[in-house]
Amino acid sequence: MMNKDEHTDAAFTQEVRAALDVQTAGIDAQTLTQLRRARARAMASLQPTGLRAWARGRTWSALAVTATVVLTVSIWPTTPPPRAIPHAMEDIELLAVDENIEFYEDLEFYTWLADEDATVADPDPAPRV
Amino acid sequence: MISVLREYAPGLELDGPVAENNDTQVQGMEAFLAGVERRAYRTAVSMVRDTHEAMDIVQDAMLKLVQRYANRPATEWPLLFHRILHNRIMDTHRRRKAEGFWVRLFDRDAEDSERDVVYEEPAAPVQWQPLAQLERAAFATALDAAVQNLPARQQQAFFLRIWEGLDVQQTAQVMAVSEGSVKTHLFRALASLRQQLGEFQP
Repeated sequence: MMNKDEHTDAAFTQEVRAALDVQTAGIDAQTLTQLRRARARAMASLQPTGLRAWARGRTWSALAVTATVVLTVSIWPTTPPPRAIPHAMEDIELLAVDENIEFYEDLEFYTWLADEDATVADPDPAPRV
Repeated sequence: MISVLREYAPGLELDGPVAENNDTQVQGMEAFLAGVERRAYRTAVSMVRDTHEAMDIVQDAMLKLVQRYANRPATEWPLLFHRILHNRIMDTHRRRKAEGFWVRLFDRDAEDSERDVVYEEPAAPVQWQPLAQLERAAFATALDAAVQNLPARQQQAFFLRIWEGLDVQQTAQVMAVSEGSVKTHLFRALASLRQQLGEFQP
């Protein structure tokens, strides 16, 4: 323990050590209980596989779920997309009809012609009294 | 200290890092703390002179050791524990000084408490004569009072070298001073104690 270089007195230090040990052995029961509790509290912090690890894992899971929900809601479309399919169906119907396509191209002309024919057939109908 | 660890946790790997949550690690740490807690408390009481504060200090030291260094090799635990404990004790001294309440009481510490003192070659002391059995109880009480009269740095050197059995290098690490400073603090402490306890010598 001590050496000559330090010029200490082994007999004195031995006496001192023995006295300190006696004092320590005489620590009262209440203090010893407090020390045991303090030790238990310290040891409780050494076991992260238990409840703390479970809680830590749950926290990360909850954060991940929350982030996913927020992301999904933020990119979710608020207006429906343009209805392209019905137009496509109309085009298909046109193509499928066994009619001359020129008829449909001049459809406005034929409509006007029909209106003109109706007017000629009854140019000024007199009001009936 | 190491023998305590071997007795209570025979499977504990003393020199290598310890796997987390290992049962042996838990047993080893518990055995270590059980082995040092009384002396740590007694040291803290002597140095801070307040039983409640001493208990808080010991609890903090145990908690910090477990939380931060449980996975370090068990052979490092004693030094780490004493470093934490004594840092906490010295923090308490500094806080009290800052608060001013204990200024006069700790004035004598100012000489060599905070700074690293220069090593002085001491003279050889007069040989101490062993005490009679009946004198031992009175000696223990007188020693308690005498230790409380020492400056904080001398108390540290005294407790770490004489009671905990750390060598000069380890004590210097715990106190964060040079090895020469440790020797000087210890020499002054022992000289003061011998002087205060001189009545027990013929």
